[in-house]
Formats: sequence, C-alpha cells, structure tokens
Amino acid sequence: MAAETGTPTTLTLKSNDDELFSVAESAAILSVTIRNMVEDGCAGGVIPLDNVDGKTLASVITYMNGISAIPADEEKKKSYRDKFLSDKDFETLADMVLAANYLNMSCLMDAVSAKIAQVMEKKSVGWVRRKFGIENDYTPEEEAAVKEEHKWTFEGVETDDDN
Amino acid sequence: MGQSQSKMEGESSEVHEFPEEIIEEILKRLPVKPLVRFRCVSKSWLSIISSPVFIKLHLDTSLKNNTTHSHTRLICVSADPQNHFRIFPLRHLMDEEETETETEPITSVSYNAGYPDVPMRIVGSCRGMVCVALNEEKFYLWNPSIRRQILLPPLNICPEFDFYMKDGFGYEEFTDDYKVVAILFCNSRAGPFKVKIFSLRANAWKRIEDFKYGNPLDNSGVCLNGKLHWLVDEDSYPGIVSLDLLTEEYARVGPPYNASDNSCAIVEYDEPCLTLGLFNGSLCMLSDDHRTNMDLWVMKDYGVVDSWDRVVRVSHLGNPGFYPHVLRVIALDEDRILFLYGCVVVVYSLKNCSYWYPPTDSVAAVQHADVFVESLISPCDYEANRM
Repeated sequence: MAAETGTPTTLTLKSNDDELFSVAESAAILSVTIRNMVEDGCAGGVIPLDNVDGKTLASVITYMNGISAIPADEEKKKSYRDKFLSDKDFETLADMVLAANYLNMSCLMDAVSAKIAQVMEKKSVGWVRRKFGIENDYTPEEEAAVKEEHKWTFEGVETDDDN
Repeated sequence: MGQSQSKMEGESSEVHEFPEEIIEEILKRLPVKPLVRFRCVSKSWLSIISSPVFIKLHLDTSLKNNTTHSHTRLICVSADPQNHFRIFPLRHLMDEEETETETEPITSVSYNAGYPDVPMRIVGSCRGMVCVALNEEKFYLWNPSIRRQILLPPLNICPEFDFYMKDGFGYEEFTDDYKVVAILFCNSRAGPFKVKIFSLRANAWKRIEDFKYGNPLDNSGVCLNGKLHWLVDEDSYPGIVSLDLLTEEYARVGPPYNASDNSCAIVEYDEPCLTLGLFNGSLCMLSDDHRTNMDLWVMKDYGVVDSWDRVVRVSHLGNPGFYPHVLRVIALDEDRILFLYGCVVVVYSLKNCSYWYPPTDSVAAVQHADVFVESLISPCDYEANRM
C-alpha cells in the first residue's frame, strides 16, 4: 500500500453518471467499501460506484480530503463535520446519507444522520412524509387514534416551509 | 433548491428511497417528543418506533451521545400547594444567560387524592424510568418523557408501630428488569429487617433475605452497576451496603478510610452528616459539617476502597432540608459542578469557587430533585410483555 512505498497513490472513482474523480488513496479508504476493493487488488483501474451520482460523489470527496487532512483530534474533526454539513439542504443530506451507507463510511454516516435528525426535530408529520417519500397508509380514523394517544407531541411544530 | 439530478425520469426527483436501516440510523438520534409524533407518519414508522429493539437502541444512543447532557432532564418535587413535579432540560440550568426556563409542571401521576399536603417522593431514576412514592403505600414507575406510568401492586405489609421504610429503585441489565426494593425498618428494633423486592417483569413483590447490616440511613438506595447501595450506621460507624438486584446478595462496600490508622476518613468533624449519591456514574459521598464546609468524596473505581478520593471541598451550600437527602452531583463541564442536595439546587464553579443558583422561578421551593435520561421505555410495555 501507499504508506509502505512512500509514494502517494491516487485512485480514480467513477460516479453512476460517468463522472471521473481523482482522490488520494489515503483519503478514499475512509470508505470501507473502497478500502476492501483496494485490498482485494481491484483498484488498479477505475473504481465504479454505481449508487452515487457525480454531484454527491464530489461532495463526499471534499469531505474525505478535508477530514483526512486533520490530525487525530476529535474536537477539530467534529467542528469540520459541523461546518461541512451546516449549509446542506435536506435533499443533499439525503443523497449523502445514502452514499455514506453505500460507501460504508461510519463517521460520515453518523454525522449526516445526526444532522438530518436535527433538521426533522420540529417538523410536521406531513413534511416528513413528503421528504422521505412515504405514503400515508393509515385510515383517517387510525391516524387520529395514534395521534390522540400523544397529542402533546404535536405542540410546538413548525409550519412547513418545504425548504 | 432540491435540484439534485434525478436517477429516474419524471415526477419524484427529490424523493429518496431510504432503506429501513438508514431510517433507524436517523430516528435513533431524535429526541423523544418528535419520535412519538412521527409514529403518525406511517404504519411502518409506528412499528419501527414501537419495537423493543429500537427503543433500547434509542436509549443506548442517547446515553452514549450525552456528553453535553442534552438528553438529561431534571425532575423536581416542588413545594407548591399541588406538589407538582417539574421537569426541565438540564441544559436550562447550565446556561446563566438562559432567560426562558421551560417550566413544564407535570401532574400525570395522580397521587394527592386524600393527601393534599403529602408530597410525593422520588425514590430514584434509572435508564429512562423514574420511581416515585407516596408514603409507604404507593409506588409508581413513571417515564415522564412519554407520560406513561403504572401503579405497583400493594406492598402488603403489616402496619407496626414505629415502622417506616427505606427503599431503592434500580435496573438489572441481565434480565432487563426494573426493580424496587423496600426495607421494612423499625426504629425500636436493631434488626434484622424484612426486605421485599418488586420486579417489573414479574409484576410482583417477593420477600428476600433480611437486611442485617445495621440501620440504613438514606431514604432511598443509590443504584449503580445493577446494585442498590445504602449508607448504614453499624454500631455508630458509617458503612455502605449493596444489594445485587440479580443475585439478591448483600455485600459491604468500604467507605473512605485513613491509611494511617484505618479510621473512617470522613469522620473528621464532630458529627458530619453523610449522604450517599452518584457523581457522573460513580458512587460518591457528601460529608456536611452543617456550618462551614462540605467534602465531596468519589469512589473512582467501583468496589476499590483505595480509590476513594476527596474531589472537592466547598464552602457550605445551604441547608438541604429534612435529613436524609437525595444527592446527585453532575460535572456539567470542566469547570462547573451541579449539586442536587436535598432542596438545594446549585451550580458550583471550581475556577471561581463560587455558586450560581439557577433562576428561582424554575426551581422555586424544590423539596428534592433527581435527573433522568429521556427515553421511549414504557412501564406499561413491560407489563404487557410479561411472561
């Protein structure tokens, strides 16, 4: 591996919409999926990532480079993650959580899940259904009954802005 | 906004297909209130959020991610005429700038019928659940975060003159069970004392081996590592006795002592008032001389007598009210320590050696207080799943 020879190895990643990205192997192996491919010797040419589009992959690579440039300091890594995610909208976060899951990147997965949870905290049930693409399979009577059990949890919910 | 390139053609460019494991990853990080609300999203979300596996995952995640105390709530028995319980996010006591203290009087335990002047007592809290008691008659297990509680079956004790009770509440991990222990204590006798233990899974009290380790001093035992701990007075010498909630065996835990002469290190005042408590997940003891100083001792390695350490000596915090007291001590950050000591609720700064009393409207006339971690765990589910 790169660390042994002293020469930095670069990998080429290909998104599902055929964009190519170069990334240092040392940063890319934050993804266990990619690391396994490298260890199995399948990383010689181009690594195809069939479940990630170019826009999301670009973002993930920015994160890989940013976080691996920070020395072992959990505080600094945390503030980098917070800043990295601070301006992302729900759709971007959703793309990223799916990518982090596919790429098996636990630190990104944790951070993005936490960010999505934070965004959802004061949202309405309707907002969540729309954003997560969930069909309401309750009858109106069933839904009213579930709601009635814990009516107090519907206090203080934000009006939907759908951003 | 929302212009992410669609993988499919047509309508739903913004809608993502989330596998259930990702939904769980996200939901386990939500506070209780929105989680309970999102049971209404769909039947599959209801089933995720109600599943015992998820409920446990959610609590374990909250406990793990609780370094800033964001999942911790303070519960106070206030001394107002209704004897309300008041519940606050702990964070609201941490910020001196915080102006809006979210006071949320909770009255969902109906206890004062016939006893308007008798306050409820907090027996203890463990893993998201709080146990409260009225006199020696009624115990409730209560999760204030989801507003669910049950009344335990009667203890069925023969009333005796001069009888009263010492108790304790804890969680036993191996059997995933919440337990209440009642020591039937009689002032006119030296013991041994009858002991009964309640298991939430069994929904029943049973008698166990008698307590024969002197007179328990605390009203309520302190739960740590699946064991309840009481401070005892054995022939005028302070000691700590534990009861294992799984094996139901008693053991002694040594108090701090002086290596030079083996005497108890905390008996350096004439008559210090000792209280056993919890300090950030360790057993601790507060020694109060009622006048000038209070010493906080912490047993840093559980069960290791040599690990008792006098962490801080503070000037007297104030009168904690009727003895004995509930003691909870929480390091809020590197500087500040929160003391819940009987009716005293105070934040102490190590740097400035100064006190800060949280806004009086939020903790006015507290009788005593405890902390708990928000969770979805319902005492009713344990009853329903009884085997």
